[in-house]
Amino acid sequence: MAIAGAGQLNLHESPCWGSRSVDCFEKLEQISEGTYGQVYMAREIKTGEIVALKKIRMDNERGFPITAIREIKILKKLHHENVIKLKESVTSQGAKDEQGRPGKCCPIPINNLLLGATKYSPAVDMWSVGCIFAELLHGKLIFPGKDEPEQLNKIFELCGAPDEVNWPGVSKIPWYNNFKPTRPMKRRLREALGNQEKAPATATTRRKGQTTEITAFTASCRLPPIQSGQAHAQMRPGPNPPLHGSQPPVAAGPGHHHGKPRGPAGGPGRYPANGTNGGFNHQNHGGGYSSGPYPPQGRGAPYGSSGMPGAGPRGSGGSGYGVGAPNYSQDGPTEVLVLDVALT
Amino acid sequence: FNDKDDEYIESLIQREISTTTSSSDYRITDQNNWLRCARLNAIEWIFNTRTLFGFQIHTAYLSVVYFDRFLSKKSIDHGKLWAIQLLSLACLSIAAKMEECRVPVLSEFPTQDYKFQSKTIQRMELLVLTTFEWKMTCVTPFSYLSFFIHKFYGECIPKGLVSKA
Repeated sequence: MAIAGAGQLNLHESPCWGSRSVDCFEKLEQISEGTYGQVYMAREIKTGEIVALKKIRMDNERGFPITAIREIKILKKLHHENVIKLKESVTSQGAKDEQGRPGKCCPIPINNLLLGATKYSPAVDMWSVGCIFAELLHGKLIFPGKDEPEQLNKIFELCGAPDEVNWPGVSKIPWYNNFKPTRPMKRRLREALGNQEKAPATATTRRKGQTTEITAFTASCRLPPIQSGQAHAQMRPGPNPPLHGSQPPVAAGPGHHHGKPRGPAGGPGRYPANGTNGGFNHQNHGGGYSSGPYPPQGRGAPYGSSGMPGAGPRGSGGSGYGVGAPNYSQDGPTEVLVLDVALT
Repeated sequence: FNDKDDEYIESLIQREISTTTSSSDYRITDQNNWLRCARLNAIEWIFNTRTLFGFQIHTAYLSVVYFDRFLSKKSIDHGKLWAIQLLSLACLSIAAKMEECRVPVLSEFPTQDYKFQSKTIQRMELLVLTTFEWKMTCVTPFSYLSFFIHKFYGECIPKGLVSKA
């Protein structure tokens, strides 16, 4: 059996084929760091356009990261002024980059694992979907915790505190005993999200039901596949053939809270009436979710083996861009994903 | 069918056209018997590997679409079988990442005549991705199939209908 070296395919020359160099951009500051890459605010030198630059760590075992592929797949399908658009890919020496087309940011939660959990699962993704949906309904962040304890507290306050009754196995999650609430906390999701003024009454009722359904299932981490499919179907009206013929049973492993620590709540200034600076506003991320006093459990968690397809933007989708930066009045941010591909 | 359905079908057709017209220059002629054989072998390998991993048929189909799309944009030198095999591997890997719940690590993919390092496969994946300008979602017959089955049967879709089709 012959072994073909990388050089034989001329892959040294061609993988960057058609791609510009990352040198076309000037990094301004790091916006955030996600499970598999950092996000920078950058400026295209030639045009002065502000972009989001996303660097993606490459996985030698699995090749081009599945999470990045799924992110690209989803981004390519989304066409909305509030959703960032993918622009092109650029390369740099020893690394490859992608960048997004200008577009407005949407508040996408950063996927993270709380309570010391170490494994992503479909339940984590469903939690994410529930959070996004609730935030769309609510109009602002629903769990604006600055750090993990605060984050968890916010979650407990809204969703009720987890215990062995509503979440069998929760007490076995590593950090559960450190964080479990000292007083009983009742679920008040319906009360908190149930009376949105803007939504028509019927829609409110329907959405409320969905929100409750999604978060209820995710809280127990027992979202059955069929329910999952329904949740998606409900959220996407119109002709929308299923992405996948079948979905695997949701693993019944330990559940994971899926936090979204990303800065202060939407107070004044989060959605400024007139975006004057048009720049990123990410520096106030409350320490970021990877720099808190607790281990960044989300980092490096192998994803992919148990991932549920099409479950919305997961880590990559959420890792940074758009977070807290909704004030792009016209062109919006451009995203750049840096792929760490050693071209040696 | 209502207007929305028409609109959807129209958008499918538009998207299909937009990704396939560029392949007009990709013709396997009689003079290029080598490529014809290599392609058939590649397709056979893709479908065998699909069975091995339990991938959906759609995933294998998508891999072949990628394979052809790539060759419509770039050529592989006559006789470079290893390049064909590397391409089919990268195409299947990408298609699996697009469509499958569980994707094996690169080293688990069965080898043909050549064994590639994961890094090499990764680089080929990147080449395919950039060649397609990251437009990886292709409209295939399956896109229409799902829609029409859903339309005709509503919620009560007979089991196995899609796989039979």
